[in-house]
Amino acid sequence: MKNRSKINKHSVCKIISWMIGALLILVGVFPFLWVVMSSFKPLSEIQSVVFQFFPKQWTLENYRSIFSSSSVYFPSGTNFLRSIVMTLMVSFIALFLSLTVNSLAAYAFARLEFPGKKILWSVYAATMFVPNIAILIPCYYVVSKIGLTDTMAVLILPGVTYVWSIFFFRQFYLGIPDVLEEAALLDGCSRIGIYTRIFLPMSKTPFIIMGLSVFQGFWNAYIWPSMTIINNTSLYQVNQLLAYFRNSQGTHWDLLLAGTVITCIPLILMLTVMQKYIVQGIKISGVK
Amino acid sequence: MMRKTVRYRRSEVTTAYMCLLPSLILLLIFTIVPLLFSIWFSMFDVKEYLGNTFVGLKNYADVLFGMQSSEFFRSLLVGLKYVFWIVPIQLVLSFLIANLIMGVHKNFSSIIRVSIYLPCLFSGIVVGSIFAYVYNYHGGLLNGILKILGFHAINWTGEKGWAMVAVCIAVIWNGLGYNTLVMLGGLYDIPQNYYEAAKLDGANWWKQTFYITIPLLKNIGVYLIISLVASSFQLYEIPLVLVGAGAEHSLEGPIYYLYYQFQHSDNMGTVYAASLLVAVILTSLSSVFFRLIRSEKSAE
Repeated sequence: MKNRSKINKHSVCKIISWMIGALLILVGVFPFLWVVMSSFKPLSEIQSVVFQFFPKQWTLENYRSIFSSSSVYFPSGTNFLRSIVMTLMVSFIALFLSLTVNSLAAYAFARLEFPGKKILWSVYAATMFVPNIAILIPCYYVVSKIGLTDTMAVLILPGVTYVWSIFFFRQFYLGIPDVLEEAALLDGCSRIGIYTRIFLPMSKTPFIIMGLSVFQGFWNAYIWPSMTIINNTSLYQVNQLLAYFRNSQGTHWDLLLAGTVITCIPLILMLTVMQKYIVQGIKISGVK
Repeated sequence: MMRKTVRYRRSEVTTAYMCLLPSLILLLIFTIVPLLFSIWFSMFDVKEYLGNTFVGLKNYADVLFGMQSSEFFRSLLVGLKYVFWIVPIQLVLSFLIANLIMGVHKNFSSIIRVSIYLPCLFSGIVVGSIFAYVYNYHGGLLNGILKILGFHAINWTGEKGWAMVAVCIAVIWNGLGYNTLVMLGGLYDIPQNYYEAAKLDGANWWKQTFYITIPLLKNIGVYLIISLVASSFQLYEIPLVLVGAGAEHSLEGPIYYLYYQFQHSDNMGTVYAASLLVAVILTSLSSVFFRLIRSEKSAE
């Protein structure tokens, strides 16, 4: 009798946790899926009073109008396709620079001895505690003084040094055994040679983990581009255009939904291909 | 013992500086110089065409007690409201979900993980757009469900009371996956034999949670709280897209205020002063949480 009730209790627990799990999956995915579905609806259906998941009438009209360069709803001189290309370009250049610059710095902090190491490290670490909000406006002042506004450089350079990522790489490099390095030094390999021939090939995983978060950061950027890219409309970033579709004058739902779906595509590709690394990355960054 | 003198190898030192140079230059130009700049110019009356005059701490006084001080404090209050609502809910939910994921079958748990992580990929603008549509008065998901259940439609983003709730739900949807996975990482690091020993002593789930799980998750908790406080306090994009001008100023946090001042103020000195004040408040807020949790630990 007692045993049976225990089994029942266990299976009830199991059913409940399956149900909550299913609910979580639904909550995570459903709003986005619904937006995807709605992006194939004609405008009248998007705003229809009756709720429906699937479009009654499938249409690609929303996607066609977002890619037609002559749309009157865009800020003048902008073009959605070009802004996707620009944002991708910015994100990939930033990704490359960020990984190079930060892993080199991390290598120096992890493996080389030089005067001022401690002071420099504490300066780097201190900047981690400065909230973005304190830098945002003065940084704008600096870039406008050196004439960087409305250039691609202003989108990329301020975000390249990422102390958190130096921290992350340094931690990884500290774990690589000294023996390898000593052997290479005896063979007459230079320090930079050690970095490129031993450390770089070994750091595939941390590079992917950091690369993902850097790419995501630049692809999703909004506030900094909207401050610094104003007159040069060819550099408009995807999120800037997206925000423009819903402004104080009203919302262009057709453009907004189609644009949202397109903006998400690179990120979702990333999640599916790199799933393993994302989980690993979070685990490492969270535990620190 | 003889004091060890460090002798640097010249080639190594050169290499080290070469490696550090790019990151240091960028850090100087885009972080350290702006910070010093804003500290310096926060003490000046900065007029675009008339030049700067030194005014000491007057700018700070203007922000705190001047004409626009009520807007400054209102934005801080909004930021605190976000912190107050989002941080605890986010922590509790992610803790519970992480526990749930630990319990279910491996394949099922990986589906849950991927689907709750999906929203974390999206930018604030995308999340704002998705939820703008979910909350939309006509054709929106929530009002559609309410209608099916026989309730009246609610103007989610237009009414003051609901707008805050609407924003918080969107923010939590956006961040839940990341926080859960961090929690999950922490849970996996707790040795299983602690639980086995507790079970032998007859401890039930509640006792195990309160005496083993929560104390051992303290470091993770500190990390999550500090990052959540910072991100909630600095919310900008989601309320911007989601509500726009709908709910007056009841959703405009500190970044809103600074951005508005940045565009409209005729004295940039006060804007620098305000941004430093906000940063100091945020940092001290985080350190209060940090102290609270750490002191509890040392008291044990």
